[in-house]
Amino acid sequence: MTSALDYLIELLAFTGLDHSILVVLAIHIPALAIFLVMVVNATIAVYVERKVAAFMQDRLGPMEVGLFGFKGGRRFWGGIGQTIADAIKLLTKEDIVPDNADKKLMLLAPFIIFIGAFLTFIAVPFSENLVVSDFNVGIFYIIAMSSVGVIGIILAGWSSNNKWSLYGAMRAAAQIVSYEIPIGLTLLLVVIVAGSLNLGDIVQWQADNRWFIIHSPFTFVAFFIYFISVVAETNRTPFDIPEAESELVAGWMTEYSGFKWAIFFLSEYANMLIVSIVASVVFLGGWLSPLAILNIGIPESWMILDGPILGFFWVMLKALFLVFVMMWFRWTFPRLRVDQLMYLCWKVFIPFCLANLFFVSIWELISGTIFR
Amino acid sequence: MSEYINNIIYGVKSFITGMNLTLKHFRNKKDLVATLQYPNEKWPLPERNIGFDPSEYNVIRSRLHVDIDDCIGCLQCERACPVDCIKIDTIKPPKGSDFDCGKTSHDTQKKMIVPRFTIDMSECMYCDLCVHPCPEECIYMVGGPNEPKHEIDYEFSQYERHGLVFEFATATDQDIIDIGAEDYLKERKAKEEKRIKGENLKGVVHQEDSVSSALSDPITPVAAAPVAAAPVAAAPVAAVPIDFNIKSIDFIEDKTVRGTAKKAFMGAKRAKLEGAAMIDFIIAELDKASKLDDDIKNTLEGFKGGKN
Amino acid sequence: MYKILDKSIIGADEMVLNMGPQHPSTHGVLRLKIVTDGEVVSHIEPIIGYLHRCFEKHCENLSYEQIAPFADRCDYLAAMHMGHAYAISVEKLLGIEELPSRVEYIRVILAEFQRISSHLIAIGVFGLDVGAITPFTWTLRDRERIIDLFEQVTGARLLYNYIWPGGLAHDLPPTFVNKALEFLDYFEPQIEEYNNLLTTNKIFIERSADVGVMPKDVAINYGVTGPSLRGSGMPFDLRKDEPYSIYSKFDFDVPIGEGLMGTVGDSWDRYYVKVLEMKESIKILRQALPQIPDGDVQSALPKKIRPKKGEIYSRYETARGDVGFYIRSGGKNTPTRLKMRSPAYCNLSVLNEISAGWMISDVITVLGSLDIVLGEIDR
Repeated sequence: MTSALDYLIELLAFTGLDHSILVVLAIHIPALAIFLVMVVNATIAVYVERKVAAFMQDRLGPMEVGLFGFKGGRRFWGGIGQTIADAIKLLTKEDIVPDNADKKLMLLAPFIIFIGAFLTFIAVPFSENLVVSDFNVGIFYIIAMSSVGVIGIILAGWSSNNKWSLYGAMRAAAQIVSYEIPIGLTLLLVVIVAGSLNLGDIVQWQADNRWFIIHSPFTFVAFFIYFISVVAETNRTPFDIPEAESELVAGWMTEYSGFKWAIFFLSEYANMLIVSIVASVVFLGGWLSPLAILNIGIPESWMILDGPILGFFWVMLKALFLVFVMMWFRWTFPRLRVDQLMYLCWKVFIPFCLANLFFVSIWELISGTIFR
Repeated sequence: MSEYINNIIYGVKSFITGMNLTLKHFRNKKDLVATLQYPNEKWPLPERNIGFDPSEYNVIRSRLHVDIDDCIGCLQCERACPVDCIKIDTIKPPKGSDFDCGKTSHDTQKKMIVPRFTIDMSECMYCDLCVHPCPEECIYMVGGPNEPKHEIDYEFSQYERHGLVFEFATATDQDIIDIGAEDYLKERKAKEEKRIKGENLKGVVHQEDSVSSALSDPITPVAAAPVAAAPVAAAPVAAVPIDFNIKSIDFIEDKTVRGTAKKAFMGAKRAKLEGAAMIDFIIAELDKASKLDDDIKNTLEGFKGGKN
Repeated sequence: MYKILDKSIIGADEMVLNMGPQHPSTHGVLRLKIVTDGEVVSHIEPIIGYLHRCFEKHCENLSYEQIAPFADRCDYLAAMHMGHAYAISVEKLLGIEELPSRVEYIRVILAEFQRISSHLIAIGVFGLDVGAITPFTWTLRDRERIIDLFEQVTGARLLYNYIWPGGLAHDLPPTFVNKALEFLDYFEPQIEEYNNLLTTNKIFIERSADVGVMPKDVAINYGVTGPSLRGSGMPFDLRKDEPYSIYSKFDFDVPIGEGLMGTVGDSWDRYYVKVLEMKESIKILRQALPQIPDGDVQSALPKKIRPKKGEIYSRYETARGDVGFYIRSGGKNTPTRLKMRSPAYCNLSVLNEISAGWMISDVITVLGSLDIVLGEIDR
């Protein structure tokens, strides 16, 4: 697996510049690309979320705003320009900072959260060779970077000088830190089986054997634990207690408005995409087509559905389905309480994860000796 | 432990039920979406099975409307209104005058004219109480079963709050003068001037250009229709009785004198004296009570000439 | 009298949190002064009066007919009930014993529809309070159909001024009965949907069962009435116990909280009683709708309401509980004194008793399960 950054540097080599200068130059292109991906993702995801919500609630959602006069579907999928209009509205809104707020920290907080999401994208593969930088510790890097955001959340809650924000920040910190553990443990299970932290290697393992979700009953359970935990880590319903709008008004975002609030939104939807891509790469075969689900000896010539471009399609299909499921959760379930959230993490997920880890090790040992 | 496992199983089951249900709604959006795309689709649309035919209603609580030609000025609706948003002025023709107030569509002879009938729809609470007592059925809420009388108007939006004050009266200034109530006009003009003065103080720009169309449209909002300056001076003074009523006595400053004068006025009225004779009677009465001074006498005499 | 900052109840570790009057889930302009220790709430003080409109004093300056629309405006989610309650009290004051039976049937039918629509709001908003948004829109969708029916009858969608002392403002429109039966056929399966989506959801049960338990004696001591009292296992319903109008003719049950998911009298019970009451209302409607007698609905309408000197107190079971009107007449066409006992006011007073010691989220849950309407509390 080659990374996009290496490819760009090779491409720019004709200029004859020094390698270190080339890296600095080349890094800007993927950075811009990541930013574009985040913006486009947020735009589309907000629209889809509103539509999904509307249809599940027997409503229509946005129907009126169009792009250059084109409103989209006439009966259901209209209003395609709504998010763009909303984004423009957010950017032109007054930037309100409360009197007694810590102004510097309040300004800093959204950017820390944004940087957390932004840096995570570096190691997220969109297809076989479509990754900014192919770390050999990819999973580890993603877990590490995705928890940077919590610092921003605590800063946002504290600096707003608002009791609701403080409650939201404290809840968020407790929740995110707790749910890192089941996420880490489930991914560790994959790493144990595949024997590598590199996402490319993990997908290659799945190509050689079978998708992780059906590898063994324990990986099957692990997938669901991972998915529910990441729903909690991205603060989505039923785990949206940090921003519980019926209790804490808007949680740690209460005092934010306009552009800064837009950045929170951007990061939230970027995080949703990241965790969904990771789930699809690690558990659902990544860029492998569904033909390779079991690896039951389909001849190589049949594998026409694989390839770099179709690979991107498969990754996004799986990831977007998971994003849809997250939305589906949100419009179906009530919200948990703080202590119940902790109960779920510490008394259900972590014991299951540990048991899983143990049994998977045994399973590997046995299947390794028996089915060799 | 079994409770722990049962809890998890029950939880997963209930989650699946719930998610199935929302997915069902997501997929059957064609049948289940209940939204009406308001400005494009309007409400009574029987084929959507939401809402009914307008004729199936008892009443639709929409804007109040008055068929002013039928109004006999009985003030029943004004009295019934709990929020006092209906304001009616009436003028009776003087005894012996041959002024014809007209007939209603129920063939009731009208006894007075209605120079003012305003409904402030921003105060109205749509309680329907004014509609029921009306003997001529001339005040009603538009739309629904009243559709033949007046079409529905549930989106009567205005740019200004004043615009929600609807004026229904159609009595022209000439009518009012004919019936012999110039001081009503004067009062109204003075009020209007006061209002314009106040608005000038506040810096509100007065809309002059809508004056011309003011009386042609029966339901023009009052704000846009300041009372057209009536040519009072040019009015045929001789043709009408002298402009003198009980309020004209208010110029007397001393309370006891004013009281005596008013008593005398009522006495004169009972004695069916009119005009100059009435004023003479009042002067005589005041003189009897030795409360008459020259100022009062002169002013009272001045009324005989038709001036105030 | 209360102090903004009462030093005696704020220890070193406690924080005063001001919830409302602008808060998404205080059901209007209620303000809660919450003393918290972390997430745990140690004391709650509801502060009311942000929607005070001098209803009782205002009534002393209005004629009896004119009070009716203002009575509607007290409980704006169950305006038909308030109109009915007021009409019954004035009829009692006037000594009107018997009304045409068509009037009574129409009143009961509309009151039961109103009960369903009010409970639909209560159920949906309770779901919203615990974080589920979809049930709210579904219940609102169905309430909209009831409101369509009401509009057909009265012309208004929220505040009807339809039930007048001594009669009704209009007769039923001819197609009403069929439309109402159609609605009932449509609505009955919907209750199952709400149950599947919300009532039996594990998270919902976790959030509401065993939370804010109100034992029977506490409920009685605080004067709690309506579904909240019945949720505590006390089968007290004025429709059964002191039948007014023609409720004695119909066969229906009074559902009570049984502690199916936790303790008797918890938030889940208070919620579920409302679901069951909707089913009972449907039962009443199914009996009443086919047998509406003929008659003139305005035949008993008094020409002028000018009661003799005297005073009365009458009770009525609204969707929120026992509303009472005390009216003293001085022989004029306006009452000398009118006092309203508002059920939600008494129900709110129990909030501190049953939700202190729980978490902030639970305060919201308990408040939602009490189903208050601020228009009626502050009136």
